[in-house]
Amino acid sequence: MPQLERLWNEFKDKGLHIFHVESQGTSEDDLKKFCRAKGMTFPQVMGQGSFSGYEGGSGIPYAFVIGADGKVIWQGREGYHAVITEEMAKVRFPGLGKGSVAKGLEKAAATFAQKNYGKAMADAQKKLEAEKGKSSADAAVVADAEHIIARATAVGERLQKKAENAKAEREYAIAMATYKILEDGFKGQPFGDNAATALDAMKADKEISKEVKALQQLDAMLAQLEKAAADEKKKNLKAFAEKFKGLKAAEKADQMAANL
Amino acid sequence: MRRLGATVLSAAFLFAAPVLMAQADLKGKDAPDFKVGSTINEAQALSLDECRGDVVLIKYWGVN
Repeated sequence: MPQLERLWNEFKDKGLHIFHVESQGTSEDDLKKFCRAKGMTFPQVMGQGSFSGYEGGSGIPYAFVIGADGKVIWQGREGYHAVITEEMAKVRFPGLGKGSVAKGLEKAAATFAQKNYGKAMADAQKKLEAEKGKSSADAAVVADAEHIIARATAVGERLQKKAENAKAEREYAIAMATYKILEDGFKGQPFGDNAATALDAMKADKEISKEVKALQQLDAMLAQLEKAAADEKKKNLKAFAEKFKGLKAAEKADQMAANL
Repeated sequence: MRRLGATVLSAAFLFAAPVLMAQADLKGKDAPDFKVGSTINEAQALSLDECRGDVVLIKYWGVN
């Protein structure tokens, strides 16, 4: 599994999607614990129902790789790493949901791929309006411009939801990092402006600063204890939880100690 | 001995055949549609449509 985690970290922002389907009926809680313990951060799907048509048949592990052209390029048990690494070079616009766009929209698509969503939306909107102003609009240009706008909007909505959920769960570091991505990616757009306001408010909040500092201290402590024995880790985590009682970092430390 | 070998082979085929038939042979074909409800660990896309132009790995596995 460390190999797959490495593959994920290398390509997750470059157009790789992983759907890891646990097929032994493991409960969601147990799967979460397993992922935490093994440091697996790629998406885990429960059950097989969502993937009818992709029957593994002769047991697990079994995998399918879909290429940038939408065709299945590999299936089997082991050996997908090299196939994926090679195929990644063919991804032109990561995350756009389209491998090619109509003429005149390549720049907007490339801007999207660089995570400059606000500019991609503005460029696509400009092209869309120009095209619609013509006596015979090119349907492909209209469709692809609308696709870029819709896709960027979906990214904004997803990131906004992620930031809000993280904030509600007191995962402030994640919330702030996500608001920053929104602010940078949607400059001059409502998503970006709202994120900037939310981020400023979080920075000014003393309670949040306290929580963030405690989480940073926990991370630093965990890094120091990386090679320590489980008993030593447990002792330190419990002491940390006591010292920072009531904060999210203490809850996390408690949970980690219980999992050891 | 030859007869025993043939019987073993036939039995192996009988058992193996349904397994092979159940396994989708998709290589070179258009990827079948899929949709995911939700995931543990965030996914940037939840359907084949959203993954168009990108590379997708679907892997069945088990914790045990």
